[in-house]
Amino acid sequence: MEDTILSLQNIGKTFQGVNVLRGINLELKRGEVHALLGENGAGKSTLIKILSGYHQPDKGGTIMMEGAPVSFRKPHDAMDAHIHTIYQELTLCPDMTVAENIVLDKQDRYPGIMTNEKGYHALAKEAMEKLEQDIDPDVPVRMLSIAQQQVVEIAKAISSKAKVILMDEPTSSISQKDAEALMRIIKNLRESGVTIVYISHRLHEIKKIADRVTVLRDGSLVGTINADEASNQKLISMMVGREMTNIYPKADVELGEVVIKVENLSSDSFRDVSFELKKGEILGIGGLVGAKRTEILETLFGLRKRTSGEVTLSGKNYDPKSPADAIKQGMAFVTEDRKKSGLVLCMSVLENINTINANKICSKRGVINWPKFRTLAEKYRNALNIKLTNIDQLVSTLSGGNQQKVVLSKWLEMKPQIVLFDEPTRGIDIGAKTEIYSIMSGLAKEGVAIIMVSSELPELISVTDKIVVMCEGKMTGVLSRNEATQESVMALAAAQL
Amino acid sequence: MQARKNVGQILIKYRTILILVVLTAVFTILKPIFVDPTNLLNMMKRMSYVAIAAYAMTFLLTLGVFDLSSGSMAAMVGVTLAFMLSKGIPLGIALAGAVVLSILLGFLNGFISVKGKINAFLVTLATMNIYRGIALTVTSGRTVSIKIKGFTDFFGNGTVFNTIPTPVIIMAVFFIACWFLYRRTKFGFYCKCIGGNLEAAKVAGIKSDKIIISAFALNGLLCCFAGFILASLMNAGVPDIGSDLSMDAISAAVLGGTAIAGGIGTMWGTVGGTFIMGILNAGLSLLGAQSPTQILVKGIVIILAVLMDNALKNRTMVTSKSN
Repeated sequence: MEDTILSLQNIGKTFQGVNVLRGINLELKRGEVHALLGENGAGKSTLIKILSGYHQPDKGGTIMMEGAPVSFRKPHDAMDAHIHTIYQELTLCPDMTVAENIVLDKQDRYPGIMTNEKGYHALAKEAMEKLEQDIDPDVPVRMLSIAQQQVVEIAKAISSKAKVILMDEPTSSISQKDAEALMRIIKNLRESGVTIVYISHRLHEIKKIADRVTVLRDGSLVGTINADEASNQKLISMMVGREMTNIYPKADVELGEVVIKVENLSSDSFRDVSFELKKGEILGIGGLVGAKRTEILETLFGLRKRTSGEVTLSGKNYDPKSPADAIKQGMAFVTEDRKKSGLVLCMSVLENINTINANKICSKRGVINWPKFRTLAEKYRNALNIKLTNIDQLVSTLSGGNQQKVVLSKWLEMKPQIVLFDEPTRGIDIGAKTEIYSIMSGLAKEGVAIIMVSSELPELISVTDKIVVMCEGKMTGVLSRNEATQESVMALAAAQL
Repeated sequence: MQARKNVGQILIKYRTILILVVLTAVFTILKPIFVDPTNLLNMMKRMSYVAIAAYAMTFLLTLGVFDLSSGSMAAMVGVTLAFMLSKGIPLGIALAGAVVLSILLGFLNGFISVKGKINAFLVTLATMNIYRGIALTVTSGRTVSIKIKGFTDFFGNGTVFNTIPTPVIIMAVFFIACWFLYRRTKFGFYCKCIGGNLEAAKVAGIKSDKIIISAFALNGLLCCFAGFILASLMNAGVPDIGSDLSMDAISAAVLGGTAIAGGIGTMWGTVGGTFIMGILNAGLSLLGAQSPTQILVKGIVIILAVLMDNALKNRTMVTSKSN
């Protein structure tokens, strides 16, 4: 089991004169789980894309597959060499069935112009059995959960006799329970001799599942270590290049009077949620995916209809009819999916920062004051340390962490009383995460109340003052800071299952 | 490396002007009379109503929608106005009536599409036929002549300083107004936000429904003025006029770099795009090409312009700074 399946020698990549990857030497063994770790922009995705044939490495580098040099000109070449990739954004066709999706990349196995439903079905079934998964091959992919779709992607890979499977942050968008199921699948694959390259930001997962860990920083390989000798501290210092003593900075804040009181709030997807929040307090909402946590935030922000319940904001009844209404009363909402609902990707950083405050800055007749827009954007660029070359740069060209800071900037300028955060650090690297936590902490210090939905238990427990736990649309408990542990949150999160 | 990137950016930013210069040079070499001021002014006069409709279409395309009924609205305006004038209704009232009617027609397009949650393509495909149908029905398909010289001079046949045709002036005035609206007001800014990412705009508290409906109403208003110019040039309300107006307006905006998927566009680009089409038509007819050839060339130019856009965009990171 110790032989090398894939070996990279001196792999580098340059985009438009920018060197994003250099001198990578890496050996992957047959049947190992090899974790790839690094901050955003460290070059992990580029490396994955080189291995999957999306990018070609610069001259001078070689890739050896089972001892023979290979060169992937296009993604299909990598697949022919039995290297398969499961991207963060899944690439299935939603309206086709599971079986159809599984055979999509194997058309040359089915010659002729006719489809072969039975053959497709059998192949899909066999793959599912191998994975010990119970997914109907004839169901359209649209009907499946994200976790199930991931399983379909894996089935697609193993039915092509994959020898190496690359997974780009597979657990970033699925629940803890599904993540554990995925871990079991990965272990089974390893048993059967498949090599897994696993990218994740979650250190505890990596320690649990990986045999070896390779850390990248700024396009270079920092080192490869065995997973059992990798401590959090060590991995983090390898990633950021310095010692990080406190990942979760939290300031001591004197709590003010109650600012929002929620009583028996219900909508068509959750019911009877009650809590109150003081100025400067950070409330976490925990639970598994599907616990309807986002829906609570949406209801508080006027995006979703409430069916019953009362909310009191600063002593007054609060029932927003629209987001505009909620904003007027001091609510801000940092949504879960930056690209979907946080940013306008085809606009500049300057424009994005001003989307919410245009009303305040513009004259009564609606004429825009561009110099003022610019001053404001520059102010937040400095205050939140947004890394960019030019404030007129397209926001889509920034890294995840910096994009998130742009989203924060636009909300901070409205001087909110309450900020709703939905998975505020999803998909961003540890350095930027810590910066986001200190921004939250700074807001709390100024007396802003914060409600944060998070699926990352360490974050949820360390950043908040108390935690409301949801399960299947029902509130199953409230934990104070002292009571909150990973176990106590999980127990409540699964209380009704 | 940096230098090459900048060349790409400059090419993108000024590609419309580049095409214009090349076209003008080619036609001038082939037919020197092309750059004669009279010829150029004539050309601008003939493209003025397309330009006005294209300004409005730029707002709609930026929002990620479009309106196929522009020509039908222009025809309906012309016919209505001609009718009112023939019945002896004073010019001022007739004009006001036509303006109100056109805003209402545009508003209806937006209102049905937004509130009924129907794709704007379908709604305006339907109203394109409805409005045209009304114009044809009330006139029984006949032209209604307009004999009020004050009107036809002001909107079509008159000149300022004895040289510049009034439609050209109207086109310029609307350009300034629409540029201001697009670039300097919240309305234009919100159009870009909504077209760029509707979800994000909603979360940001932007009232997208209101903005989209307003943009459709604005399209109605501008098509009304396009209709006035058309009616003046014809000295009549013609029920089947302007059937290409929507398509020409969309073409002009796209030639000028407006994204059909929304979020990106400039008023300068749109006016540039209109000029490209105007120059092509004028140049080709100077060379003796017939209208079918002109249509053919127009189609080819649109494909080439968009291909050029994509090629340049793939090679460089574009900043969205636009004027």
